[in-house]
Amino acid sequence: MKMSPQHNQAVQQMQPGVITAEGFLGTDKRPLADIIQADEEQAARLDIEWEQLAALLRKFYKAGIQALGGTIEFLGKWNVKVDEARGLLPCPFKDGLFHKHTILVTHKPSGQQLLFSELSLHLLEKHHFLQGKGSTFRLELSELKTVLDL
Amino acid sequence: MNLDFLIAPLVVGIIGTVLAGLISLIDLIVNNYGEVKLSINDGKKVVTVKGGAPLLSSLAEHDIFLPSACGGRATCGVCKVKIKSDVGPYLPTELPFMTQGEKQKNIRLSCQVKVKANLELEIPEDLFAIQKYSTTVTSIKDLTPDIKELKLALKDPNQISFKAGQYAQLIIPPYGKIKQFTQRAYSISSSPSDRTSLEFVIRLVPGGIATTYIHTLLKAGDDLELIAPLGDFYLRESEADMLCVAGGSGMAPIKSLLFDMYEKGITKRDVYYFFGAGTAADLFYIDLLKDLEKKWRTFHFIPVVTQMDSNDKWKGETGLVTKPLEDFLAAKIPKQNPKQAYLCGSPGMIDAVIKILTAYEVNKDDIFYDKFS
Repeated sequence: MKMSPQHNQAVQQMQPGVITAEGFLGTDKRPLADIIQADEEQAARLDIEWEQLAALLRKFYKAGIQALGGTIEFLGKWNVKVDEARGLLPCPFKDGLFHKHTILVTHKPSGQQLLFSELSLHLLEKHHFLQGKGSTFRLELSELKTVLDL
Repeated sequence: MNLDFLIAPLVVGIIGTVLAGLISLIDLIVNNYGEVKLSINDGKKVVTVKGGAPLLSSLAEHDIFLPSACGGRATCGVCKVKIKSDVGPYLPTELPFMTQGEKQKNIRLSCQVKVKANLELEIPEDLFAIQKYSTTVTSIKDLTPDIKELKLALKDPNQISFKAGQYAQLIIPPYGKIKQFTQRAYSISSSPSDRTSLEFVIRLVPGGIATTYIHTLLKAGDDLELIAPLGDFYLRESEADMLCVAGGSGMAPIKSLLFDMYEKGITKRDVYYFFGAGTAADLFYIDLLKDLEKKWRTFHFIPVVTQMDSNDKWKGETGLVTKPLEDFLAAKIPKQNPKQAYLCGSPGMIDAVIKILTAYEVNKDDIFYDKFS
C-alpha cells in the first residue's frame, strides 16, 4: 500500500523518544501503510469490526477507571486495572491529545492479558493502527479475539 | 564515450543545490528576528533574548522558569503566561488548554509562542524563586513492583527552600534513541526541613520517556538536573480537621505535608490520611506512617487495598479508597467540625472524592488537589 504524506509525517512522530520512549513501531520494519493494511485484512478474516472492537475496549476502560487505580472485576470474566500518569500524549497523526491512561485487561479463565492506552484505543478506532510488532502497546487481533471472547 | 546520460541528473542536482541554498538564505533573512526585549511586570525586569525561539525556553535562558510538566511539548498546558503584546492568534495546540476567561486575558502557552518582537509579560512574582539545580543521585530503591523512591543530593545551588506539597521538574538527558532533553514533573516527597536533598516517589509508566530512564538506567552517583520549587499544592493555615486522600505515587506530596506538619508542631488538628493501593503489594511507607501515627495522637492513617490476592495477609481496609472515607465522614469524624481536604491521585479518584466531600458539606474552596493530568 502506498504511503501518504500523512503516513510519512506520522512515522516521524512514531520514532522512539518523540512521543514515547519506545515509539510505536517496535521492531517492525514494514512501512506504516503495510502494517495498517495487514491488520485490516486480518480483521476482515477474523470478522472483527473496528468500531465494535473499539466500543468494547472502551467499556473495559470505563469500567476500570471506576476502580480509582485499583483492580475491578468486569462481567465476572475479566479483571481490569487502569493506571493514570500526569500529562497528555499527542496522537502521531496529530488529531488529538490523550490522557496517559494504561488499561490492563486480564481474562480470568486463561490468565491472558492485554495492555492498551487511551491513545492506542484512538489509534485503533480512527486509524486502524495497532502499532508495530514488538511495541509494548501492540494489539494482536488474534489475542484480542481470545482475551475478549469475540 | 558518450556522457549525455549524465547531463539530466547533473542539471537536476545543480538546480536542487541552488534551491536549497536559496531556501537557507531566505530562512536566515526572514526568520532572523535579532535581539528582542521581554519586559516583565511593567518593566520591573527586562531581559534581552535572541528572537525566534519559544517564549518558555527564552525565559529559561535567563533563569526565569515557568512551570511546565512536559518541557515544552504542548501536552501539559501548565506553562501559561499573560502576554500584553499582540502575538497573533491562538495555535490549535494551545486551544485545548484554554478557558474562555483565559483567552479574554490573552493567557498563552509560553512553549507555543515564538518570540519575534518585543513583548510585555505578566509573571507572578513567586515564580522568580524557581531555580535550576544540579544534583547527584544518592539512592534509588524499589518501593513496590512499579514504584521507586529516588533521593537526590543538591550540588549547585546546594540548598533549597520549598513548601511541602510542591513539585520539581526533573530534566532527563538524552539516552538510547531519545535525542533530546525531556522534562517531567514529580511531587517532592521529602520534608522541607531537609534543605540539602530531595526525595521523590516515581511510578513506572509503560513507554514513559522519563520514568523508563529513572527505573531502568538511573543509578546512585549519577548526575541529574531539576527545576524547583513549583506548584500551589501546599498546606493552608487552619484548625479544621484535615482529610488527606492519595493513591499510589500520589503518596509523595501528602507524605511531605504530614512530616512537615509534625516537625513544625502543627499537631493539634485531627488529620485523617486515606491511602489507596491496588493490592497489598502496591502498599508502601506503611510502617513509616504507622510510626508517625503512634507519635502523633491526632493523626489517623487508613491504608486501603482495592483487591485482595488469595495469598495476601492484609488485615486492613479493603475496597475503593472512597469507602473508608465515606464511613469515617458518616460515623467517626464529627459532622460539625470544619474540614479541609488535600488530595493527590488520578482525576477519577479526585472527582469521586470531591463528590463525597461536597455531599458531606465540605466547602469546595477548602478542597485542594494535585490531579495527575
